[in-house]
Amino acid sequence: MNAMRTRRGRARIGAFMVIVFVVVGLFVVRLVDIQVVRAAELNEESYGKRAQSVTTHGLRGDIVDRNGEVLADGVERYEITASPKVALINRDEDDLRADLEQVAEVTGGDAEQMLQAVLADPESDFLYLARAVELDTLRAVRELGIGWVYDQVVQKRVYPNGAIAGNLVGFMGTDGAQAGLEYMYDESCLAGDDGTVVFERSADGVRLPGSEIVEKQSRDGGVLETTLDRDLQWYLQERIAKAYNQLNAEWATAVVMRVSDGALMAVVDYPSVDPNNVDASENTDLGARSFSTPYEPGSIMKPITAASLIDAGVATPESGVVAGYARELPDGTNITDSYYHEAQNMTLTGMIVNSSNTATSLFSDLLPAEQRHQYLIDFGFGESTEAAFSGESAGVVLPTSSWDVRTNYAVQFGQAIQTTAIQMASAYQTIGNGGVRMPVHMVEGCRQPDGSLTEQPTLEGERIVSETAAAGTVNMMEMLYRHGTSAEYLDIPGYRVAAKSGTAEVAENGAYVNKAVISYAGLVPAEDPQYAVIVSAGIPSMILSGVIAPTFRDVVAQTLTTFRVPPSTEPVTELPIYW
Amino acid sequence: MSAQTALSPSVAPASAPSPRRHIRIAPSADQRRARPKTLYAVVTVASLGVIFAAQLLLSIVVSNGAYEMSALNGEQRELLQTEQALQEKIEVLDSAQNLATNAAGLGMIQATSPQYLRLSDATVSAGPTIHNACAQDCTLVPNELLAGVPLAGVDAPVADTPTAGTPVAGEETAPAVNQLPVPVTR
Repeated sequence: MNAMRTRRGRARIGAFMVIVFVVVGLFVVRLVDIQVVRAAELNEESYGKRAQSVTTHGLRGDIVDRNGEVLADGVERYEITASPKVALINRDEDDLRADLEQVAEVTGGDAEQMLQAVLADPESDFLYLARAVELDTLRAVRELGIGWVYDQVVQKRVYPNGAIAGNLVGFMGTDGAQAGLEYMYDESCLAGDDGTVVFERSADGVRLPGSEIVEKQSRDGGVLETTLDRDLQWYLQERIAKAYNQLNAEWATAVVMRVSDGALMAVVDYPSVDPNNVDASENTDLGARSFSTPYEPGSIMKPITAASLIDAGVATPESGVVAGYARELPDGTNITDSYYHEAQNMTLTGMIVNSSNTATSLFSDLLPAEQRHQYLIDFGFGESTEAAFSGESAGVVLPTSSWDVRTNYAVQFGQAIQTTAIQMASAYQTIGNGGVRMPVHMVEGCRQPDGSLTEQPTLEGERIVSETAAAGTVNMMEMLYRHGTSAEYLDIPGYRVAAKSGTAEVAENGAYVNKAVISYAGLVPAEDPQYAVIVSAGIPSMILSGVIAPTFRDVVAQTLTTFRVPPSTEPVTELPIYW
Repeated sequence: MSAQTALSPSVAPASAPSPRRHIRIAPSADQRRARPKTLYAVVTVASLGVIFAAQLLLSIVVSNGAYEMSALNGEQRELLQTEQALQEKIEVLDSAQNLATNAAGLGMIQATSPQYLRLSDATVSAGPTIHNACAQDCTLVPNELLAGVPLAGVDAPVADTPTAGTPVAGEETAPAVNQLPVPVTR
């Protein structure tokens, strides 16, 4: 009975053990093969059969004003999708119809249309049932609990403040950012990075909860902090729109720039676009004319001329010339003033207050053309500003070699030279800032998700004219505000304002026609300028700068109120207009 | 010798084969004392059982925690989504156009003469007079997102506006003409 005792028994046991070991060995080899050697390949194969890769989107950063009011907002919308392949497992057409009717009720779509789409390609794994629905609709669809209907997140851009700063913020199109700040700061700030998440899906198409693996982490874009003030921008847009309507103009624009650092507080163009509804605007209204469309500025150039002359040391506010109504030039043409007057002993101040072109030309003789040209370049004309706005124009400043007899004088009173409203605002900023020009900018920086501020503008000033020249020019402009022809329309009791009017002739096909651009430009408060304001209306029905004076006054008043500028306390120094 | 062995018959056992009896060697008292007590065995097995049970319970609790965490995560995601959707709505309602329209609807008028109070010597000085930006219509700056958004003060009493024009309170559909009335007395 004791098998171990006999040799045959031992042999039998031995053989049995060998067989057992061999079989176990085979199993071990197979196990090692599957679990170790081919593990990766098999895992991948099975995973591939049930894994579904979904793109996660990094949120696009907002664009906000200086107080955090949101001008452009990145929001989530949801796409309701379906998998016809999965749907048709264990379901027939009637089941699908019943499910789709439920979905259609919630999304407001057409159930029959959806059904046709599903049946059209039964092998397809992906199909849109409803696009860009809101959160309530998504939740309602999810609650229906239909196993073959899924959802995806998609990004959308909304502009909660509508057309306010629409010219600056820009808008998105099917290919991404199209214009404005959206376009300019797309890569450097606003756009996030996409990531990938892989879900596992069961055989009947249900997403296994907790099976997400984040293959690549998405990154949100940064928030673009601008220097703009939304409330001021809105008020100015309404006011400029009103002026546009009253004056029957082709366009109107207003710029408010902070004198101390060149920051743009409001840039208004009318008509301009509501980024929520781009199709409602004409193609020409989609951008910012203040940046993109230069025009001959006219007499608002005279203070820059005056500042150049004082800085060069060839004139003071009290310097005098004898200015008539007309001055004949060597080439036989005439320079004339806007209204007839006898020859007057006008000071440089008088040149500003009376806006005399003849006086300007006489004063310009005191400084060689090359130097006057250099001053124009130094003030920033003929070159795009540091803001580098999308579509910005550099304007046109002809080289002195191209200056004929007339151009030589005309540029000093703002004709035969093209500038943008922003360039002009920058020149006034220079005069208001004691002669130091600051870089024009609209953006404080880009607030990244980690809290750091990137894309900050470099704020280095450059002295263009002396403090005396700047102060003298501001003083002369105050005389115009107090004693000029539109003084009663400009009056803001309690405040000292420096202003200059401009009625610029418009040329078409090389000749000046009976059209104008009327403007008012100024600095407030004059004793220590904080804001430069330029208001222009293009091709109004009445060619008289006086009609835009009330608009300028209202813009200045609103600027002073928005930024809580208290009334002036120091009295103004009167300058002689005649000698 | 062989003859003896050959001659001696195989001796049959004296008695018939008796049924097998289960015989044990009776342990002595010493041996009995030396034998391990059943109690120890029972305790060991029981504690093994307890350990397994505890392990099972712990793993159940941990799994439960994981499910709870997953549920809470899901809840958090949902709440964040709701927050974002509401934030979006707030921003639209916070737009300048909507605020101005609602203010006018509630009978508010735009302040036209801000005053400055200088604390150092308690003097009051007047700020700039604000002329009405939009005397009859503040709808020159559109906002597509406000289409269909009702005014907030629907039940608010209609203000007695000095200027001509229909008051906007009571409108359910798109905001009507915005009135920023000017006070008659200055």
